[in-house]
Amino acid sequence: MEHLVDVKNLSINYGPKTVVHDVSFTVDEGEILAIVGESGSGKSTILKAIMQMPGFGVCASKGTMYFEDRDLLKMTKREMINIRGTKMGAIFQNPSAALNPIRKIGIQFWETLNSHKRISKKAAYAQVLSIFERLNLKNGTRILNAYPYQLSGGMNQRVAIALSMIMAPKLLLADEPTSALDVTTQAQVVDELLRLKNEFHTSIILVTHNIGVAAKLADKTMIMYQGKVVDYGPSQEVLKNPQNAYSRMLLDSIPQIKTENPSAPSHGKKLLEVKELCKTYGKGKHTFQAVKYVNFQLSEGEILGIVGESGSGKSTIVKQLIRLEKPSHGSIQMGELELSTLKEREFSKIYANMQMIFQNAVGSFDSHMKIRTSITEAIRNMTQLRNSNEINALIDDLMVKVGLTPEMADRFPHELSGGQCQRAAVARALALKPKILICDEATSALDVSAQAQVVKLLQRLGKEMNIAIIFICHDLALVSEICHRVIVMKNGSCVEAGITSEVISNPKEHYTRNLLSSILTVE
Amino acid sequence: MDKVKKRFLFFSIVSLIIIIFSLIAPYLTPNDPYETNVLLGKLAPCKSYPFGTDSLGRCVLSRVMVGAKTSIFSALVLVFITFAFGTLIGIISGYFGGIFDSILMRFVDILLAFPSMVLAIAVAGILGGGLINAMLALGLTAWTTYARLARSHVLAIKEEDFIKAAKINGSSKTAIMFKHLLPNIIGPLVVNATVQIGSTMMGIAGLSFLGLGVQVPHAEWGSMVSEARTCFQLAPWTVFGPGIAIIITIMIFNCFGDSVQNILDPKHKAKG
Amino acid sequence: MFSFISKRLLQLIPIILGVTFMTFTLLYLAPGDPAQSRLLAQGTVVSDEALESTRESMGLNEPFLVQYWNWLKGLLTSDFGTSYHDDQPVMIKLQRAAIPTIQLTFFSMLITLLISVPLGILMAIKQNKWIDNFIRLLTFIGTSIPNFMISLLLIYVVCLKLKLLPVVTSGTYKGLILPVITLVIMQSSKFIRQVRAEILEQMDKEYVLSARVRGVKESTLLFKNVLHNSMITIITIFGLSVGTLLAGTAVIETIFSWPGLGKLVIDSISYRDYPVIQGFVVIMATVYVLINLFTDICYKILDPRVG
Repeated sequence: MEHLVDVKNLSINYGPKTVVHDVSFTVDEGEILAIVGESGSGKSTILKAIMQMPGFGVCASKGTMYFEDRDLLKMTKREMINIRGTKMGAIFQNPSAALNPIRKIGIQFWETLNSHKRISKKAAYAQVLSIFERLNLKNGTRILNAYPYQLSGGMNQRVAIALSMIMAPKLLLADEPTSALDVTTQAQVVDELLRLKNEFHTSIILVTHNIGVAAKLADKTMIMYQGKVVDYGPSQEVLKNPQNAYSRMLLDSIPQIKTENPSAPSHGKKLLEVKELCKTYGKGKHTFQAVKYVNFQLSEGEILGIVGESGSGKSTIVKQLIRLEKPSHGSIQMGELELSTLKEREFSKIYANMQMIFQNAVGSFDSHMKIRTSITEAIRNMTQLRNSNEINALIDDLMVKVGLTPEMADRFPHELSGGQCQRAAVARALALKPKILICDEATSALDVSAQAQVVKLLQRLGKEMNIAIIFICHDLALVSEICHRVIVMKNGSCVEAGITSEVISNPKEHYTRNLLSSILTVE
Repeated sequence: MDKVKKRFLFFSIVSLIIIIFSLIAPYLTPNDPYETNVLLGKLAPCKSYPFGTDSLGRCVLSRVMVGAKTSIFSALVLVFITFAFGTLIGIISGYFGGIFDSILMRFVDILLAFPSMVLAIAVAGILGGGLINAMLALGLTAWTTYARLARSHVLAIKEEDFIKAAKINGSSKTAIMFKHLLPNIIGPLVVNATVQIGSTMMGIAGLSFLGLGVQVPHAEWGSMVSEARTCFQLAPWTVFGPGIAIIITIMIFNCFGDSVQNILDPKHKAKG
Repeated sequence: MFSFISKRLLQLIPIILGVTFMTFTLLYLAPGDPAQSRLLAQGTVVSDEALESTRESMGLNEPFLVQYWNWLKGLLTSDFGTSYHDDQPVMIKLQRAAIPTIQLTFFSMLITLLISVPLGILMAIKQNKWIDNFIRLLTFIGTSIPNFMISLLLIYVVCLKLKLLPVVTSGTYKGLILPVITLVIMQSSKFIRQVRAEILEQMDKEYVLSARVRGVKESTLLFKNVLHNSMITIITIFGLSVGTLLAGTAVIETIFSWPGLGKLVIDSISYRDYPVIQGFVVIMATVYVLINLFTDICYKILDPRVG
């Protein structure tokens, strides 16, 4: 046997459409292959083809796919069922997907083992506990007695990995296993995957859009673009010295930790001052403080970053600024105006000064309306402009400004890509000529190349139009690239704040250091 | 055009034909539906009385044709009114929340604590017979389905970014409710309404059958079956005429409802 | 679990109060004078004095809320008033009629469950095969026939054509056969489709997919996972369907002259015997609410996530 997996000239169809063209690669025993690429590159399709699950709707139309010297494409259904689980395991993006949510985890481990070989519950549990131990999963007995919903997302994913390893497969197929997790949890899962390779000598095919994860784990990397392989080889070579223009562009788009940041515009006028801002949900025993006594200010033309993991309260802060949530306590001062006590009706005037773009760009437009209709609605609501010719001219102008064509305004949101939609969202916000633009994870759902473009657009517009930007983001690297000042949030409190370059180069708090060290870089 | 659309088109045309037919049928009756003639009672189907005659000698076919309008339109009107009213209440309640919502939902809970037909029978029984009373009795609980459905969809959708975007773009609450929320939730509500046509027809016929709906001698399918039941053994055609008419009509409207569901709710389609 | 049940029971109090209030209000607003109805129902001559004294004895001169309170107090001591028609205590009448209805609903529910769940599973497994399509057609026809037509068609075929059963078999177990079949056809047509849809929905879930990828046996997957998870919804739907069942009995009992609650209420309506109607509605609503509570408890047992 030369290679564990040997795929040659594989083409894959999804219905009548060929989505993967002529792909070849090999995986040796104990080797990790990362397949990276942006959405629509066909990277997950390859995994689905290897698993040969009925119901995925993919089928290999050409080529060969050898696993342990046997062509998977020529196997019968029965043989394939035997191979899945015993020789091949799989984990998915959604950490809670692997397990039946309402049955105890231990039972589900036992069911899996028992399906392959008759075994008592007790013996099965002993076997599972030893695997837990080797994977450094603590409190094994507690996990076995827990329901999946009682564990955190990261823990669920680690249990899912253990579950797929229970039959000691030679090959693990991992589809975006860390994408739904926070950075610090992501680091744990990455460690666990490394342990699989070292402890069990398992081969892994890892599909991910996160090139940092690939760089940390993979022996070999394959970069895909629109269903074709554009670069393939040892990770060192592919990631350090990409041959292809697309790969270079992709790698350049990845945000890197920067300790030197663009300096803030000198002493702009103070726009916003936030003091002791708090948000409490619920009453009595069930109170939950999402934001605790946060202070900051924002000046003209500056970009302020707010970083933190999910549940840190970073989004809740800005939702209060723009009255999508009512502040529980504290003051928000905009010039002479106190926003926190303003009546709902009066607040609508503020929206001309303060606008927001959202994480889900396509979802921030009403799917029943063309982009132009949505922008027109905003203009008619908030400005004096009434003449439709003037409004249309303004929209065309804005579309060009954000790097789209005027013709794109006449499409429906789902007819644009995520990046294009986010630009349109920026255009809609700019139509009202705001002084402050809030970006709530506005680039997180985008592919890295689209993210890089939108970030550049924001930087340019901020400078040209002297707009202050509040940039909410979980990616400290990206924040370090563009923000003048940064606030680090954890569990609703601000743990560290200051000039970005100072916070990055000399973090004072343990948590900030932890965040920084969890970032996986290509170097 | 795929199969789903073809089915939808076919059943909408058939439903439309039935509706139009029920409107013009009273002018096409072979005999006078209200003319009694005891001498011609319980005649088996023949040339001049294709569906036979009932115990009072009235032409069953003519009565079925005249009754079509009552049976079909009462159901359509009731579905439309409960759909419109329930949707409106549900949207307002879901979007504003607060006390109005709590009171409304408690009220709905109480209404739903009655098995719907039990309440309908009681209300119709108390109000006395009559088509309008029967519709009122059924409508009393029917709107709650739409209100709850609309409310739950509004609750899910109002947290979506495009509603927040509409808010920070200065849209008023009314504009958000009718320009953004309504078009986005109307699909499942329309599906529910079309699916309900058949069962509403059944409900009205059921009440009429119990003597709590349309009153004799006015022709309506449910009450015709009820009336004919006494001479079922001797003249089964008096039951089968209106009975089969109602079964076929409900089937067609149910098919129509299914085809609408398949078109508007692709997830459901996958399951067949 | 105990605290869960007691909490739910406490939540029922306002609902039941609301139910009684609504029922009372409905009858209060009903057209016609109850005193007159009572006299008419008893066949007494209606004179002004008789009306006045009856009103007085029935407490109809009291303010609305006082009347409601008196009636409610009666309910708590299971005193539902007396029938206008024959002066019997309503409670006795309801009790007598309840037994036949319970027989009817119990057997129908049992048979419906026994038929629907296996058929629903079979259809889901054989999705879009001929057996699935065939049963689906049958259930479609079943849901499109009004219950009175099902009954009449059954009578026509079984009693009149095949002469297997006499038409009038009031009160005996033989008399249960056709009403039960009618209710089973009515209920299972709906229920089979719902079971099938729910199982298919569960089979689409990601945990099923990843269990298959792990090579978990199909039988384990189906019976221990999919069915377990589907049961939660199936029980809820079943609980709700009891509502249609209870209402359906009114028509069926009338057709088959089965001396149950449904027939009692229809007869009482024709006499304008309001206390009986009131009692019937309150009892039905209470039973329905309790059944829903019971499904909630099952839900809680099956789904550990429910807090």
